[in-house]
Amino acid sequence: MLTTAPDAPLASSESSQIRRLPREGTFRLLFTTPIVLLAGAVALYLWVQTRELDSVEQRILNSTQLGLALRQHLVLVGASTAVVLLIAVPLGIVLSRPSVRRIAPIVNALVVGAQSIPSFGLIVLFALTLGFGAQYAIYALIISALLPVLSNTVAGLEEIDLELKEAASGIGMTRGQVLRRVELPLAVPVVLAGLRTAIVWNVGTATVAAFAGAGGLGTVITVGLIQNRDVVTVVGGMLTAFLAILLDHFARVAQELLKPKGL
Amino acid sequence: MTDTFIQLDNLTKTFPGTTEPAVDELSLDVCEGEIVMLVGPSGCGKTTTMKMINRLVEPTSGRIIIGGQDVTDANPDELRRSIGYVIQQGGLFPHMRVRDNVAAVLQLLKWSSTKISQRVDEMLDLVGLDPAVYRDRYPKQLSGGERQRVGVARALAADPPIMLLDEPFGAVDPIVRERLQDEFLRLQREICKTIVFVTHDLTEAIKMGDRIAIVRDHSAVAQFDTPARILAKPANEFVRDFLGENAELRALSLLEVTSDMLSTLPSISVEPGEVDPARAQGPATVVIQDGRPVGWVTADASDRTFLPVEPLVLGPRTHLADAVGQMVRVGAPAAILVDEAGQLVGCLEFSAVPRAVVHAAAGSAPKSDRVDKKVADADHRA
Repeated sequence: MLTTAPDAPLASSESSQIRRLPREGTFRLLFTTPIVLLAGAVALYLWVQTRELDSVEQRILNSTQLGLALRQHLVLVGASTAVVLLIAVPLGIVLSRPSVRRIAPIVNALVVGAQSIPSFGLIVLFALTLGFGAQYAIYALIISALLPVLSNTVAGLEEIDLELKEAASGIGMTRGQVLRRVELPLAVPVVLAGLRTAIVWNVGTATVAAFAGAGGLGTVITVGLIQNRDVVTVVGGMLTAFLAILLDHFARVAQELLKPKGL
Repeated sequence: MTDTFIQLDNLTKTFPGTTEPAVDELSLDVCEGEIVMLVGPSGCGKTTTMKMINRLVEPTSGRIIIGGQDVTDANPDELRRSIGYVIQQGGLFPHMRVRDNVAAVLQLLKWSSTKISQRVDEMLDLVGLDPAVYRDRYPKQLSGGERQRVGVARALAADPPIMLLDEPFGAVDPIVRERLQDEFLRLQREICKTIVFVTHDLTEAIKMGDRIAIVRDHSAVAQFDTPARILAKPANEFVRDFLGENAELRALSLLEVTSDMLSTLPSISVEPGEVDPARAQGPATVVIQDGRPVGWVTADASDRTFLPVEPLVLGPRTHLADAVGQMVRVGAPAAILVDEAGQLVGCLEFSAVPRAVVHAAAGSAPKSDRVDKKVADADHRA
């Protein structure tokens, strides 16, 4: 019905060309890190092969023992991170609602307080008071990794343009619809950035869980340190680092995939 | 004028933590199918006033009556689905494609997906965007003007009787803004929505408004009238200041030239290619060639000169400013007006111009055919 073509001849001031959304090279994103990690793992393996291993070293540096430690480590990290997500995201949503803004600083102080306890101390404390085992180590990991996800959830929701939220209510969305259709999708990248921090954090902290009898790659490192076997310590440390980088990579890929398009 | 459609009755808004009300006992009636402009300095409460209509801001006291129904306590979410809302930049959701942005209200109203996609294309066509090209784009891939169009399409999708526009064209450059304004006016002539339009731009208010509410502090209405009458006769010092100097000159571009303003001046007919100034009779004589007026012969005591003129066509698009422009351009004391066929209808003498302005200030509102047409449409519908 409007007869003029949209942004027709006069439109030099207004370019209506399609602007391509910037997209990182998919191949580079997906494969660079795994390839580097694989090369590192092969190098580590070859290095260990050149060494004459004594009986102590042989007992731990085999696929059964290392596989077990790796699996235990993954369980510690996976379980704690999953629970962190389940607690921190809903809590972050609640804290970003205008009606509870007043108590937000209190909750924030509590979480920051929990964060400031050294996680080593927390794991040992839980082991001594609650008992030994993976379960209690996971509790400690949850507490120490809560903050990055919580604060990123709150930040991600609060940095959304106020006018945009008002536009959403203005066209008739209920509060829940504004949250689900506008706020949460737009906050996803920031929440996932917090999650990545939490994962890397937990992979490192979980090595301490060996002291609480929770197993994991920490066991390998501890054996190396106590028995004064450098090869074992190096292998344990390197595997932990590889795991951290790999999981971070997966989270990074997830971040790319889940990021709302159009931003 | 048609019936009142939106009635704001003694609305007051005092924000928590403040003692001064942002809006103080405002009453305003908006008629069905008209564009009411809220214009005033920033911070005067005009946006707050508008947001009380769709209850984004809850009034502290007062009533809001829409279409005879008191909606002051109605469910705000449902109310808003029946009121189109456009803000600067369109307020588009950056993570949704154009089609999902336009469909947003329809989804809330639970339309079926086939009906929605049909309606989305219809709406994009309506605002002048080719659905095949724009449907799947993200807001980031659009220019400012295109975003604004999508914003209007979204607001219109559910065919709400009312639209609220909050500085919708504020974020685009002047050329695009003017085109969007023209298109919006053309669109409005077909859709006949009841529109409340907030702007801080007086020129925009004059151009777009059937009536303008000039708002001062605490949303007190300093004057509420048609643009022509406000310009010709500011109600008080505040309005005069707000309009700035020479408001009357702006009025000239709003007032149509009508046949009763015209007078008949002496004319001569000449052969093609032959103009003889000596044949002129009065101080100014219209020269007619082949039955069409082509210019003036003006006569001072000493010399007579021929002044070629491109006559104006008498009609709804010809305003006093055009006539005065012709006089100044040509250097003649009157403007020549013709009918559609190019035949001389009469001349507008300069002395008739101020009379027309005074006449407009005193009485009827000769803004344009818009209001009358809408009244006719409304009658037709009823």
